[in-house]
Amino acid sequence: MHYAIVEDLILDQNELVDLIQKDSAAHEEPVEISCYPSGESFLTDFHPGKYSTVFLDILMDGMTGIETARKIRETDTRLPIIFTTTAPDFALDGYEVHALQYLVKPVDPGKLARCLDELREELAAPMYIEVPVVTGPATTVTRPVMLDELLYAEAIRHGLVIHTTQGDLTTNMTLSELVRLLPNGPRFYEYGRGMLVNFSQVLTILENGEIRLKDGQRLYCSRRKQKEAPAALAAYLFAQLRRGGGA
Amino acid sequence: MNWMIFWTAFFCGTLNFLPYRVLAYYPFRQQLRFPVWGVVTLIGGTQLMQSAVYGYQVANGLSVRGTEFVFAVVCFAVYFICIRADRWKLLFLYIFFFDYGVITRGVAYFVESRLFYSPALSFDTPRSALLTFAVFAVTVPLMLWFLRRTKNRVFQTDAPMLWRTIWLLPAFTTAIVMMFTGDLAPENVRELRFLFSRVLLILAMFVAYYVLLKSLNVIREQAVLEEQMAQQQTMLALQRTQYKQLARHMQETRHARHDLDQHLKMIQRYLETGSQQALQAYVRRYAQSLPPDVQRTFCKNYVVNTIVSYYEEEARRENIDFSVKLQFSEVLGINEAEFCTILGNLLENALAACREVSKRAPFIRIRGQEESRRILLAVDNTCEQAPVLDGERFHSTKHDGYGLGTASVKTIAARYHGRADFTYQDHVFYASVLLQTDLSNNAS
Repeated sequence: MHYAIVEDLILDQNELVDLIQKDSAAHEEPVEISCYPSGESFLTDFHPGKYSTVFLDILMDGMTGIETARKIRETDTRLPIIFTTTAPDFALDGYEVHALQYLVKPVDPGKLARCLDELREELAAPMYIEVPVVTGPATTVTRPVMLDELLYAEAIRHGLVIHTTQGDLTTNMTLSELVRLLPNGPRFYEYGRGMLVNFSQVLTILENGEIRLKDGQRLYCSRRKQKEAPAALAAYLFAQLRRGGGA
Repeated sequence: MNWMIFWTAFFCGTLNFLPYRVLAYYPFRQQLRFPVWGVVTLIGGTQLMQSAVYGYQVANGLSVRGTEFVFAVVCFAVYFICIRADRWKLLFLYIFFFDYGVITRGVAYFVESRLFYSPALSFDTPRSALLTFAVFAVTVPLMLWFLRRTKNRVFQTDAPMLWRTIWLLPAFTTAIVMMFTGDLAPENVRELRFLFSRVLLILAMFVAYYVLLKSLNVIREQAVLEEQMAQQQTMLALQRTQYKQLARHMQETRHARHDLDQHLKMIQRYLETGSQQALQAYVRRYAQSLPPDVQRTFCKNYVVNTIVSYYEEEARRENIDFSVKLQFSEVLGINEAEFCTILGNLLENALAACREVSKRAPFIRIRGQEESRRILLAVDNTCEQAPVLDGERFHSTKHDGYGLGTASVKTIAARYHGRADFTYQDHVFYASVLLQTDLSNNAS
């Protein structure tokens, strides 16, 4: 775990470092913490994949925590962001950056512990799957498919076509084999025989069973699933909402 | 039995009734209880029976009026079974289609009696049936246009007592018309009086339907306005409470400033006399007694914030744990008053339920966000027992007029092509409301 802390008050910075180290020691996990005194200094060093989480102080001179978060989101939509603030005031412009948590300073050790547990759970979720992709008449290459990019999959003769935001892939896996690779949960849904959709890419499901994706494409539920599909989408959205993550 | 007569009558009977039956089912093609082929078979089957009976009666010189009535009832029963809609509204529309048949037949027979008059003229011939069908074919576009405009209005107007009795109006009028113009003696049919009585009396029905539906519309709008007014009253009451809170906070701020002033004077004095230890002790003592920050803003939307603040205060007063995470911008994607009805209802229910909880720590948890052209709202609360969900009404002693509980929430959600789900598990009640904000793409 490599955390980044962006905090202009040294006292608060040290306190947070201390608490995180104590918590990591209690979980027997190695931890590395990088501290930055300002949003600008953090951004010059930052690139996606460098840190597992960033703690951002909201009230800072120069670039505020929210502005820093927005800049981060331009290149990294998945990095968990935790805001620290002196006032329990949630009227933030920054709700669109989907922060994981807001911690009030002075940070309560119990709240931080819960926050870090939530983080561990979030980071433990797999972000991609390995799919054997058919590239030639007798050749397959294993390629990673990011779960966030997976749109839907359709069974074809002897295999599947997996549609992603980066293009389509053909594999000779069956749908049930694909389902086994995907994480359990309400996110991936079979909307018909041999058809699977990623609910995080769905805009809405109409009463007649038409599934509209965020990119405008339309899929159609099988007759049997027409009634169940909107309920399943709602179940996924609310599970996400209640967990506290962005849908 | 004369088979020639039988088959002729069979043909006439079918041509006289089948088009109207098909027309009657057409507006409900999306609301059938069975797949289309099943309904078609059912219609076809009953029509076959009816035509066969009719053919048999004509071929054997029996009276047909009685069985005609019986089959009308049977047809309605089939109609009611096949279509998923309120039965009284269906009856209302069914009589409408029946009357359409009565008029077209009246016009056709009148024309026929004028063109081909003879004292022995019978209207059970293929010629009559074809003439009737011609009148039908010419007028059916008008009918479809009329249906398109009225069907929705009928089905959107909820007034159960009214619908249970209003069908009697066209039913009685039709009965009168049939009684006085049912005798198809050619010398009567050729009279203008015959044509007019059928057409006018039943046109009067059309007008009555139109006036009725227009007034139903007005009633519906009135109900909506009343609810809006009630909501606004509630909003005013909430704002009054918020003003009181604000005034209280302003006073607390004044106190705090005064205290701060005193503290600074004390610190100044300690600094001047150089008593560092005394200063340290002083600072430590007063750092511990800082008042809690009570004024919270939960989201940027003013109205949502007002409501949540009100309930947060109530919850705090009763030691109910209140957790909020809302991500709404200043302007909501849907009508604010309706969203507040939903939110207010859910929170009122949650508060009431928490008040009854004794064996466990009560809590209310609110999560909400707006993204991807939809609004999600989840309100969870402790609840002693599973509530009975069936149009419950929750009235606050302070603010009258919150909708009709969860039924109101469901109605509003349905209007936004969304849903409202309520579940209960392990003494926690979960309310989940989904609303689509961009309706342009969802119009079907």
